[in-house]
This record gives sequence, structure tokens and C-alpha cells, in this order.
Amino acid sequence: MNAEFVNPLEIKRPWSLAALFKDAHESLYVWLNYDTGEVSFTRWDTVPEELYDVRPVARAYTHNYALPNGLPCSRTLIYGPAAGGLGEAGAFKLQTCGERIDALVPFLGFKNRELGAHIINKKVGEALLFIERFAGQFSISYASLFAVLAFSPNEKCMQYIHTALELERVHNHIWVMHKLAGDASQKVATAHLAAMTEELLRINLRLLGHRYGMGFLRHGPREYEEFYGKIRTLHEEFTGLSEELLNSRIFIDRLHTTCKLDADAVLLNDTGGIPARAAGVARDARKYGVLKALYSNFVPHTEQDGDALARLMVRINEVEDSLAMLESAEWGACKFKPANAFRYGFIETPPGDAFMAVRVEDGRVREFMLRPASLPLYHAFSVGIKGNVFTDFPFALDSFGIYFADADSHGRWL
Amino acid sequence: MWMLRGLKKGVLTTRFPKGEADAPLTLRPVKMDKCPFARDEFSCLACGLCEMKESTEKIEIKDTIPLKSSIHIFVMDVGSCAACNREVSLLKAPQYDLHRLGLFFTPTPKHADVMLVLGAPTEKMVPVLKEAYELMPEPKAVVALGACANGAFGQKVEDTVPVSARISGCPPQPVEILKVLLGVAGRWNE
Ligand code: SF4
Ligand code: SF4
Repeated sequence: MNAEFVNPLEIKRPWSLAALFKDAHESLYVWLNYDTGEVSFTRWDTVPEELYDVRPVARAYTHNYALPNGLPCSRTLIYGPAAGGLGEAGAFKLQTCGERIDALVPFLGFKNRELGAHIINKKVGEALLFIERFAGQFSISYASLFAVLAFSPNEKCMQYIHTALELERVHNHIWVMHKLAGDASQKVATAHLAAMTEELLRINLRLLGHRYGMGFLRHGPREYEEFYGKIRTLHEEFTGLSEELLNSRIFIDRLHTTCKLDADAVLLNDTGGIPARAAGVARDARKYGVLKALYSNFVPHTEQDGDALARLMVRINEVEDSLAMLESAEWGACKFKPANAFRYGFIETPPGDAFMAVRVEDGRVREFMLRPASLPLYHAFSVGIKGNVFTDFPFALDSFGIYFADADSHGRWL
Repeated sequence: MWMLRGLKKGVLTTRFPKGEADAPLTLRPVKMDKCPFARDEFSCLACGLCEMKESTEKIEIKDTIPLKSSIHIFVMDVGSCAACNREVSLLKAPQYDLHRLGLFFTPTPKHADVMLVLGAPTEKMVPVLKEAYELMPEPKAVVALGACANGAFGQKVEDTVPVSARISGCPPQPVEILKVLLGVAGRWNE
């Protein structure tokens, strides 16, 4: 890695701040040009205070959040870490005035399991076990990214990886729809979407050897003759169900204008993934990430409004595409050899892009970095939620499809 | 239209516990004695580095709570990867429909009979776990759910609070979670 010593304030757009690993002596900055897919590393001895104004997402990478001074009517509260509504061990600090949320900051670290530390000096095959468990829902994405960086998978295996990634995208997107329908008390739709998620996880188990794809590179692909028939049935069902859901005014009204993040906010906050695409900014690691060869004619779906509804629309279109791809997917067995090198790159997990860098020497991992997908998206959520009322909170948060387990996996280990 | 859709799909709910659980089985190690990570049956991560085959979960019931017609469950995440959480949420899916068995989730430990603990206890969550346990009324039971809660990454739930039941899996499937919940209530026995 060639990292020049440069003041981060000198780096201008179109470079986006894609990751920042801060330690006691020096900070490592990772920059991404979303237009060309170029990645550049720089070093600097501090994180300058002014950086938080020009690159607000830096707060997410350094956990440097504070609530602003409130109004006379302001109340501050901490929501989490064991609040049933969040579904995970994580929290937010909120400033409210009556029902209105004036400010919110993510309060992370409750799920810091330091899994990255377990990886160092492990053989690459053993390291995979920990990588698959940063975020269970994105296990396939992280294992695939690691496989491409630390091994050199054969061509048939790359097709298998592609299949597994799309299965992961579909079950996550449908789960997000399930949660949003639940938030709007659409009980029948919620049940249908949960049933569909369960069906997809059973397909995963039969083909990949695990419901969330953990160990899919070792367990699978397994013989599963009914795969194509099951996917076709699910596809048909999904198309009908999403059309029906979008005809529900009660549901749509709860999502429309909720937690809006427009294109300017996306650019200022260096946001990628679904929130960017929902605001008309076509950022998608399938175009610039390590697996771009698998997505040669890929054009990301975009919407314009940047609200929870636009994020849902992007997801629905992506599920349609992924299911169509899966209907004719092919794959073969995996063969690997460890690649002794320093490699890095991005992958598009279901909610957005993630960055990983790995140094392998003598078949063992000597350096590892992860900027998980959820971390900058919690930041994006904190930007979009301002001015919303408290009853919008579940719709807003669930529309991002992100996890505290994932966000808390951020780090660099040597 | 929703109703027609439901009728078309028919009944999806498993016959368990009256009949067989119809979900496909999880891959688990054939033998535990060669684990390079020194995991036991409860903390095995089902990683696939040893020989695996389809098999059922391992459940240990140490204490049962007196039989009740309905059981309220508080879900406590102390450091999971979030897959265990999804499996617990899927208990409400039509395939499992936990309410038909008198099982209900509660958002507060103050109303809970059972605390279902997921994940590897992190430094920040250990005090929260203790506090939640203290808040539960008697009689109460704690279930350590999955490999992480049973020491896959060091700390176990039972290092912090008394555990009435344990279940293996990474993650345990919803139908397996039903077994341990009914087991701790004395309503199911292998
Ligand atoms: S953790 Fe992996 S290697 Fe160890 S017993 Fe379980 S499956 Fe086998
Ligand atoms: S037991 Fe497995 S699935 Fe459950 S939290 Fe731990 S790593 Fe995730």
C-alpha cells in the first residue's frame, strides 16, 4: 500500500472519504472516486477538526458524535441498547422537541466483538470463519470479498459467488419490506413477506449449506434440483405481492417524505448504496468493486426522492433483477489458492458498499481492514431523520436495512 | 386480494410439536474431537472445517419453569452477528407461528418469564444483561441461544447470569428455538 502523507483537507471531490482508520499515532484515509472506481490511500497524523465540516461522515469513522445545543423545549434521551424496538444491541442519542426529532446521533460500540483481532495470523481458510460472522445478514458479501482478495477463486466458483450474493440481496431486501410492512401494521403483507424470507433461507440451506451462507464456500454448492422451480415460484409471488403492497395508500403514506436524503446530502456525506441510488446518485459497487466483471452490463436502479419510499422502490427493482438472474444462474465447485499479496476493494452488500483490505503472507492474514456497509449508512440515517416526528422513526431506520453488528465491526488490525 | 393470496398458499405452519418439524436440517460436525478452534457441541460454529452432515440441534435443559398457559419472552442481544436475531424474529413467520403455542414476545424484562440471550457477551453488554436479569420477576429462566452465547468467542452467558437451558447452532433454526422454549416450560421433551 502506497499511502502519501497528505493533509486530508487538501483532498477535494470527486474523491469521497470511503474509510478512515484512526489510531494513536497516525490515521489512514481511504478515498474512492465513485466515477472511475479508483481508490487512493493517504496518511496524516491527526483527524483535523475542520474535516468534520467538509467530510461529515468522518464522524462515523472516528465515533466523534455529539448532540448540538438544543432549543429551550429540547429533551435529550438515549434509545437503546436493550430497547425491543431496535432488535439489536445498539443505541441512539436523540434530541427532541415535542414529537419532532431535532438531532440524532448513532451511539455505537455495544456490539464490538473485536472479531478482526481473531483474524490476524490465522490461515486464510480459518480467518474466513470470523469474517463470515461480522454481520450474519451480509456474511456472503464479506466472505466473497475476502475470497477474491485473499484467494484466487476459479471461474465456476465466481459464478457460484454471484448466485450466493444475489440470494443474499433478495432475502435481505424482502426482510426490509417485511419490517416496513410491520411498522405500518400491514399484518397480512408482513406475514407473506416473512414466509417468503423463510422460504429463501431454506433455499440457501439446501444450495449453500447454510441459511445465511456462512461457510458457503466450503459447504456448497450442494445438489438441489428444485432450485429453479422454487425461484420461479417466489418470483411470481413477489411481483404480485409488491404490486399489491404499493397499492396500499396507508403503507405508502408512511414512507413518502420520511427520512429524506437528497442528492446534495448524499454528495456532502459521501453516502453510497441504496440511499444514494434512491436520491438519483448511481453509486453501486457492482460497477466499481472487485466483482465488477460479474456485472458487466449492470445499470443501477435509481429513484429521485431520496425518502424511505424511494429506498423501497430501489429494493423492489433490485429483487426483480436478482430473481431474474437466479432463474438461469449456473455455478460450479470452488477451488482456491491463497494469494500472497496486499489487496483491497469494495463490494455491494444489500444496503450499500463495504471496503476491505487484506495482507496475506505465507498463507496467513497479517493485516486486515474493514469499513462495513452499515457504518456510513447509520450516519446517513442520522442526517435524514432530522425534522421527522418520532412515529416516523421505525420506518426511517428500517428503510436502511442496516445492522449494529455490522457497524461495530469497523477497524484495522495488524 | 390479500385473502385470496393467503388461500392460494394454504397452510404453511409446521406440525411441530404435534408432528415432525418439516424444515430442512442444518449441517453439523460428525465428530467434535478434532475442532481446530477447541469448540464444544454448544459453541461449535458449524464452520465446515471438519466433516459435516445434516443433523439436529443439541439442547440442554437444566431447570424448567412451572408450566403456564402463556410464556412471555424477552429477547436480549448481548453481541450477536444479527443472524440469531433474525431466526428469533422468524418465529412469528407463518411457518412457525409461535403464538399458537402460547409464546409471546415482550419488550421489557419486567414482564418476561424467559430471557432468550443471543450473541457473545461484550464488555458493554454484560452490565445490561445483569440488570435485565435482575428486573425479571420470579420464576424466571434464561436460555443461552446459539454458539456465541455458549462461549464461541470467549465469554459465555452463564458467566454472568444463571442459565436454565442451552441450545447449539450458529444460528439455531426457528423450529429448534421453539423446542428449547417449550422444553424450558416443561412442554417438550426429546
Ligand atoms: S467449529 Fe468448525 S471445526 Fe470446530 S467442530 Fe465446529 S464445524 Fe468443526
Ligand atoms: S451463534 Fe452464529 S448466528 Fe448466532 S450470533 Fe453467533 S455467529 Fe451469529
